[in-house]
Amino acid sequence: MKPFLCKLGIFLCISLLIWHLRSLYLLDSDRYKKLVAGSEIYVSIQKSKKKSKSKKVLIGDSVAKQLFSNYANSDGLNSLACNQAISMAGHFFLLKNYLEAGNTPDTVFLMYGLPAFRNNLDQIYTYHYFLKPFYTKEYKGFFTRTVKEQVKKIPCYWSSQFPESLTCNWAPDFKSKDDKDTAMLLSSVSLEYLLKIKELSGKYNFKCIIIPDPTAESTRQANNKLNKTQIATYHLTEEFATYFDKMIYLNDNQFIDGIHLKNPAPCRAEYKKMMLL
Amino acid sequence: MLFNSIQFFIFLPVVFMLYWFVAKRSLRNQNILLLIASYFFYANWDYRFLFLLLFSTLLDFFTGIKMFEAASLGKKKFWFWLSIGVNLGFLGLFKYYNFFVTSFAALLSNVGLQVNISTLNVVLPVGISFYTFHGLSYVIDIYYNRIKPERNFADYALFVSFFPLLVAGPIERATHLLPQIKAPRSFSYKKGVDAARQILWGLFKKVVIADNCAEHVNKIFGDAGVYSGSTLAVGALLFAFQIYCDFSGYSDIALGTARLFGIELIRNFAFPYFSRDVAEFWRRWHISLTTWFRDYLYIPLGGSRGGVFRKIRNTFIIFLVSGFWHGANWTFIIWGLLNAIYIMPSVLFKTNRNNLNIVAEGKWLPSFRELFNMIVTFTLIVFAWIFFRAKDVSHAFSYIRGIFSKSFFSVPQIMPGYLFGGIACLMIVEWIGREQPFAIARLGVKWPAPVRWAVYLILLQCIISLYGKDQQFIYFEF
Repeated sequence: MKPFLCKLGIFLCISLLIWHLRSLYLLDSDRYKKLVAGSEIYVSIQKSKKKSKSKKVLIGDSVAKQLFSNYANSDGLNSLACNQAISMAGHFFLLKNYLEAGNTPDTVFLMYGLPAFRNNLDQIYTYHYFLKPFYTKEYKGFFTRTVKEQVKKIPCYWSSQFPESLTCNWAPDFKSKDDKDTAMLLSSVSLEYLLKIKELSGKYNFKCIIIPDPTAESTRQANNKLNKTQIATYHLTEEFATYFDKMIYLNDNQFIDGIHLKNPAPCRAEYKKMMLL
Repeated sequence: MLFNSIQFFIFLPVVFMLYWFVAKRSLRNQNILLLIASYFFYANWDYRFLFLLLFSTLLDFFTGIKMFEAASLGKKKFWFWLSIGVNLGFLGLFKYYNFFVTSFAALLSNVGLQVNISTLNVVLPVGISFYTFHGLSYVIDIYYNRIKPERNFADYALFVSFFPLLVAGPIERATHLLPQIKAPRSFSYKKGVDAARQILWGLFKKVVIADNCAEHVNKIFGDAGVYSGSTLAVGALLFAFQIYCDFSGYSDIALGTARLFGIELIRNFAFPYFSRDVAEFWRRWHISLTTWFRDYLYIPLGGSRGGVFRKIRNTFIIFLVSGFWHGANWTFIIWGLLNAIYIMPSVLFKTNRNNLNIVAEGKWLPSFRELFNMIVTFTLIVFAWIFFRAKDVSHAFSYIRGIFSKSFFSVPQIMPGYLFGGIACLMIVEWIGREQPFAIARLGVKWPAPVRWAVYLILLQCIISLYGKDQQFIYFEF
């Protein structure tokens, strides 16, 4: 037994050392940002810190990214769209970066599907898509109490900045025990950060327009039953002014999984018209 | 908890240390420790179904003793059929109720009769197909006087619920596992090293190959209509490797884990993709299940004795039941049927036991004929896997139609070169190790230790760097 345990112990120590060195290398060279799942988030973060000539900027979820990729550069529309998993808090940080980089957009489009508004940092992806990129000194100061509380519910949240964690796709097995009112439009996190985005719009003098993703027809009834009172209660009427009217419903067979489009091209043209591009 | 999860990497060493350092002086304590660990392992999946597991265990334990002590054949049969009925009843309820109800309703609606049906909103208990079959084999063996009933409940419960095999097999036999449970175990360095190597290889197959294949397979099968025939063929091929690496990887981890505790489980895979005919494939794939069906269904039905009609009937029954065991969907039944058709010629012409040896045994390369036979067999198996993977029968047929279209000769839209490279490396290693219990059992044993360790380190780093695609083991769904 002792020789086995000794050799196994030595082997595992060497493995851990190699893993650690590899992680440090990937971190130092930033290569991990291209290798891990959700690499589009790092692309958006990097892009948000650069100066752009565009007067229109898009933040949004993965469907928004399908329509207007954040990998592409365009003077007409600067897309920072990545993934709903970063939550409205993440989108606020992207926008904040963008504005602090000296950009002066006149319009900010937030393209979000209805389910994305219910993200309360309570998803299985939250550790990997939110904590890893945003649980840093740079952004932690801007976490609201709700975000701090939600973060603490995630197992091993404190490990999110370890080199080994950042450079791999591991995330703890997390199932939120929060009660979710699925009839409400906005989660606490979405509401808080939408209000912060609204504050930014006042401070930096841009218009914030929230536009919907193309949506599956089968969800129409459920969407119509949503409780939208939060919009008026929290004075977000202007931002949501055209959201429900402009919702594009498509046949379910246009979607890969009920959310992502099989062929974004036809929709892109519609959205360009909507966004006056 | 999954075998490739952080929780398992904490759970296993803790149980291992307690087993060999704390409980080592008493076999009884070791067995109780393993039993508690096994129930903890299962509860981690869903604690509610612990009661079902416990109930099934108690039932078979109790009926086993009652059958043995029965004064008459009538009473013996009563206890036997009680156990069979209740066990299969639970399996049927959780796994097949909705299938039968919806299929029946669909059948009636085809003849113009509309019925209101209510289906059950039930979660399938993890591992129910596996532990039910453990219990059934025990009960059947007692009925046929092959074994005596186990009188120690803890030992029997451990036989049913031993955590390495609890959720996805291999399906053990009481004649094989119970004696090991009742015998003292000692740790040997060689077995420990073998176990660690087998676990490493199992993890490599699962994390590096299966999970990466799954990413592309899900994309291709999920939206088959937009892909070319060649891409669909790539999807089917990748699924063949996904399911092999997923399931055999799990089995390798299970066998390696059990060996760490001094227990040898039944081998479940013997390099099936090197089979020269379909009959050989079925001697090498999911061995514990196919032998279970052979011993408890095929042979009692008469096996291959009797006339041609009986042979055909029995072969079809086995494969249809096997298909059905895998899931409550017509696709699994068609998959089983297809395999029955594949194997039928060899059964009828009595060539099903032609290839009992290992292909190209003692040689580096197969002969041209062997290679040709392996390719043909593999192609037939991949074709059948399409039904296994498809979400329903119409999806399977449209997928097949898509493959055999003009676009079959176009360049595939998805062709992950790195993944095919990984699969090629896997198959080379498996070919070299095909005469061993698992591919890397003897790999590098004559090399200097630093070289051997370098190979293990590379395998482990591949696992770590590719970990996290979050794909559950396929056979957990059965």
